Amino acid sequence: MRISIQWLRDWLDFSWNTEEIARRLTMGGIEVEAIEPAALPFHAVVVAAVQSVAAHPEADKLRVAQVDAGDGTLRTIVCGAANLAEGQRVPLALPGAELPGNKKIAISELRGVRSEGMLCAAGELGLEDGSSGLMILDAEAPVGADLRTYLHLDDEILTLGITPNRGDALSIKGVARDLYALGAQQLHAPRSVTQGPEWSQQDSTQHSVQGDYSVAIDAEARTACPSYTALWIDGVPNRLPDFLRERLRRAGQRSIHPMVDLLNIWMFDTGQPLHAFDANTIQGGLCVRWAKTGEVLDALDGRDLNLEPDMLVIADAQGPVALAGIIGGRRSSVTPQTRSIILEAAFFQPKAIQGRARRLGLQTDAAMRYERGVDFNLAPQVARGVLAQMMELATVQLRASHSFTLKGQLPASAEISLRQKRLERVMGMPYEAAVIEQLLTRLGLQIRLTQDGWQATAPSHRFDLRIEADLIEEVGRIYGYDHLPAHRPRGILQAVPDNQSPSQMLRHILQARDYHEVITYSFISQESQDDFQPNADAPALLNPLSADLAVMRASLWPGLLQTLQFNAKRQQDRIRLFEMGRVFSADRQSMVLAGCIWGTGDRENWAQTARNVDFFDLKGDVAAILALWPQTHFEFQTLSTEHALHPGQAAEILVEGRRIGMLGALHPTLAARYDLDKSAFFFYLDIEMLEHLQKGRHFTALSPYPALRRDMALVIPDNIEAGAVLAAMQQAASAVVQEIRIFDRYQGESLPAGTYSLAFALILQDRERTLTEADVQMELERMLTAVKQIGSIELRA
Amino acid sequence: MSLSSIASLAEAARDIAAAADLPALEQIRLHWLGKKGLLTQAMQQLGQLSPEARREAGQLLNVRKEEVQNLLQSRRTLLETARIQARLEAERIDVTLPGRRVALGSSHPIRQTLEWIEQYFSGLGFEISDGPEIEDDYHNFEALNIPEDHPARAMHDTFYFDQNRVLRTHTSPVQIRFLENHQPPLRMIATGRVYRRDSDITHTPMFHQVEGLLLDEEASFADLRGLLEDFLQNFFAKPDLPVRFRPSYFPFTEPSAEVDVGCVICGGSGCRVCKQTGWLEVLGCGMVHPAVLSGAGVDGELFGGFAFGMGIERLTMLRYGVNDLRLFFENDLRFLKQFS
Repeated sequence: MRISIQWLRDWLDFSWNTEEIARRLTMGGIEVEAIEPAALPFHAVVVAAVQSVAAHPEADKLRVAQVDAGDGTLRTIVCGAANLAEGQRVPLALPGAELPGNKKIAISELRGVRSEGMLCAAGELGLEDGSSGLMILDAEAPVGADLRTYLHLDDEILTLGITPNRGDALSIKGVARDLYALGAQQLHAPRSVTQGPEWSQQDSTQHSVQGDYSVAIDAEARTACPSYTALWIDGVPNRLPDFLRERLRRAGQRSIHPMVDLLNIWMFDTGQPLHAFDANTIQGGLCVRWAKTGEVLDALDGRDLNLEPDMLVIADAQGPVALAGIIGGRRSSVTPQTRSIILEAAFFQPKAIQGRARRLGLQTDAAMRYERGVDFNLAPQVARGVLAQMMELATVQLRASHSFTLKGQLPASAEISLRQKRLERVMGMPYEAAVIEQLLTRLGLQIRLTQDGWQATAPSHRFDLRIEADLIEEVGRIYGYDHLPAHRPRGILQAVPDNQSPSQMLRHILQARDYHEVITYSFISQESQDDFQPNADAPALLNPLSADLAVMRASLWPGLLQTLQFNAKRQQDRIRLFEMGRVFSADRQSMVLAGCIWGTGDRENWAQTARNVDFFDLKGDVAAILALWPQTHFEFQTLSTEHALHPGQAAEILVEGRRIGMLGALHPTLAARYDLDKSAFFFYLDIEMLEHLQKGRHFTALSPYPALRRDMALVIPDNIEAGAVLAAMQQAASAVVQEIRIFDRYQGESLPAGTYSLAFALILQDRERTLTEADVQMELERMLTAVKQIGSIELRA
Repeated sequence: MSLSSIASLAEAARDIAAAADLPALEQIRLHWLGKKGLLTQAMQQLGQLSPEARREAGQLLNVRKEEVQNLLQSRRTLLETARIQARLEAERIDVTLPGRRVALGSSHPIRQTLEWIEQYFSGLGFEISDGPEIEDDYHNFEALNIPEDHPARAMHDTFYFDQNRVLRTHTSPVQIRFLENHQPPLRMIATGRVYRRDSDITHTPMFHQVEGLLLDEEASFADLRGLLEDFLQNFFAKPDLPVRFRPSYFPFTEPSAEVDVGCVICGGSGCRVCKQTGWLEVLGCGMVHPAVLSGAGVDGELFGGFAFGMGIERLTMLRYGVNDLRLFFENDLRFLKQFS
């Protein structure tokens, strides 16, 4: 919301400068987001009277005016504005004037006619008000007056961020009230608000009739609309005076129609939303009721709104003419032809308004105020003020009035108790009773003393004061958080339960191995999802930002692949990435660690020959991670059916038959689709499953006896995997076999076709004695026998 | 060699001095002092002399033998030193060539901030907790005192899956989940991804938050201020960093505050980052709202406390001087490598 400092003076006496007001508001809970001048700098612009207008001898589009700038002489001004007319008061930039945008005005000749200045449009003065042509001032504007002085342009505008609990602060009056509580000198009501004609007021549940005009409040709608004032007024202002037009502009509101503008000004001033219907379009009186299913409102914004039964409407005999408290209808709207209006000022319960505008995709000033709560005593009073001002501005007659309030249905003013001890305990600082009392009183609360504090009644404009905590907050914010001491929390010393997640450790291992952590979006496009998991059942967003961010990812690989592609396109030749995040399915959101490698195996360097990474680089890294669980046996099993992986270069990682991860080369088709010219390798590990594996390490006594190494080379048929041979050896080995290491793999001419050879290093050591050659031989025999059982495997000669 | 000729060993001295390497020197040693060496043989001949001549010649022989040994030793030392010198010379390398290094990877800057914050608060006894990212309406809104249609819902542009399931818009629902299975006194910290339907130069649809909750018998707004002041001064490594509490509104805390720090870019004199105010808003906090406590079954008269939440991207940007939010999710290696 934008407020003008000058306008604020209508309501409040203060001696602060703008910076101080801004500081107090911000530190009082109403954040000042910006301070700007009400008008850009310009000078030497005065009010001038147009004495005569003649055609330009040389140009059709230009005219020559004689204007009086109040200095006793007439000036000749050449002007191109179409709305220039005799008798007008207009802004005149004198020679020597400087206008916004560094525009300098000098005496000049326009098509042979000397022009002694320039008549200005509002936009040329930086006073953009949506009008076109010359800025036409009031007929009574004092000729010769400096325009800045006349329009009081040396003003400043504050842009405020009003939090959703503070509907009461959505007006000049509301901000003034807070500033008063924050220490301003005097709060008062401007004349226009306190004066106005009286009309008979009713407090009745019956609908009342005066003449031909009626307002009916449907019985079902009385809780939602306990106060409704409608005034039938003949005559509308056809122009607002300069000072009101300026207010509208300073509020940041474009001009719509003088009548509508006036109501907007009153809303910004008091916080009371108002509406005007063209009285001649209303058939058979007004009715406030709930909408019927299927009803449509042709709204002011040009859209047809499909109404629902929980939406409150104002209707006439033909149907809805307004969505109560939110937006008016086009059929009954005020137009340039409007001669009489029905002025509406009402109180609608916040609950009857909340959420409806959003559901319909609307955001209006009225809805914003009603949703948050409008002073429930305000409507009749503001209607009266508007009528009084209309009478000043135009020939206006009140033809009929209808105003009633159902007192029993108005929100109850909450009785709230505030205990001083509680206040001080919550805030952690002492407050003087007198200070609390003064501050609550200034906020408009009625208070009386109780044994341990006060009983307070909230004013009708504060919908956010209901419980003790609300008052504690009021005391705290008005007294000032600046006074809040900085203490340290005290508590029971208690060890934090050991964070069970191995995540940090995993990340450190990967970082030490030259992996960079990335963070990618948790939602991806359906296409990338399908690239990896065409059958994923991950949830899709109802309202995604774009098709690229539409479904929850079932795997971290799509994000990693995109990041890989992004970096590969930026001339990186070695890319190693990992991410830790959740993956989603219909019923799970589990934490996963995933990574990928691509490009050179080592950073290119003088000491090594360059090569590209392969499956075993990645497998080595994965094994380094899995080494965190030394007591668990991780089985890598060939996997040839994974959609996104190369069928000949992929494995799943199993623990007791359950898959906890996967790794492999990206399928060449997919790699090509992402423009990767080298193979990429991906892995993932399910962190939640890893978390459940047994942790901890156990000490094994060191053997004092020497370890022996024996090498054994085997010739193995191609169809038997190294893992199977190794597993058979491990199973056959006794406890003295400390380690079986594959140190060579050979395939070539010296071997029978369809075979390959593996060389194993066996490390043997006993804890009780020195092993003899016989022991070693027995061990080797046992392993050899075991491997022979899985196929035709022979010792290599 | 005859005993008479041992008076002069000029030949031995000449040979030793001429020995080019250790094997040659060994040959010379054998020639003179070996089992069949000249001096050894001369020693053996001593027995043929008269006792008197034997004594005289023996003494002389011993002197000569010692002289040869000394000469051999000093030549050996010289040759050994030369040999080592030659080897060292041959093994000289260019130490200015780069080492054979496994480069260090990096932790994402967002993660570094999260870890720093987790570590700070777990040091103070805050338990690290966690919650789902697809959250239900109850935990994300209702239980946090944000009923359906409440204007405060407009503060959160929400991603929906259906009527009841949303992507969590903040980490605050973790408070509720934590309270469901913990009794006060308690201290909790939760970090993670949150989502809002917003995307422009200063907003990404996914970002990170940290949430903290402390409930105890005596826990005040002043305690909260002290705690956050210490946290922020440590985080920015500026012990004198000004910290300011400014009244604000969150449905789930009351009183509530936004916390500002003196601009860490300009030092408070006003710059583009702090919009010339000298202050930077870095987190939100407040005393847990009574409605949240009672909803969680906590007796608000007995226990009270505070909650705080902060956006990690902003803190990270300020901490490292990162000037574009989008860099965090682009994952350009040239960016990430700066955080190794």
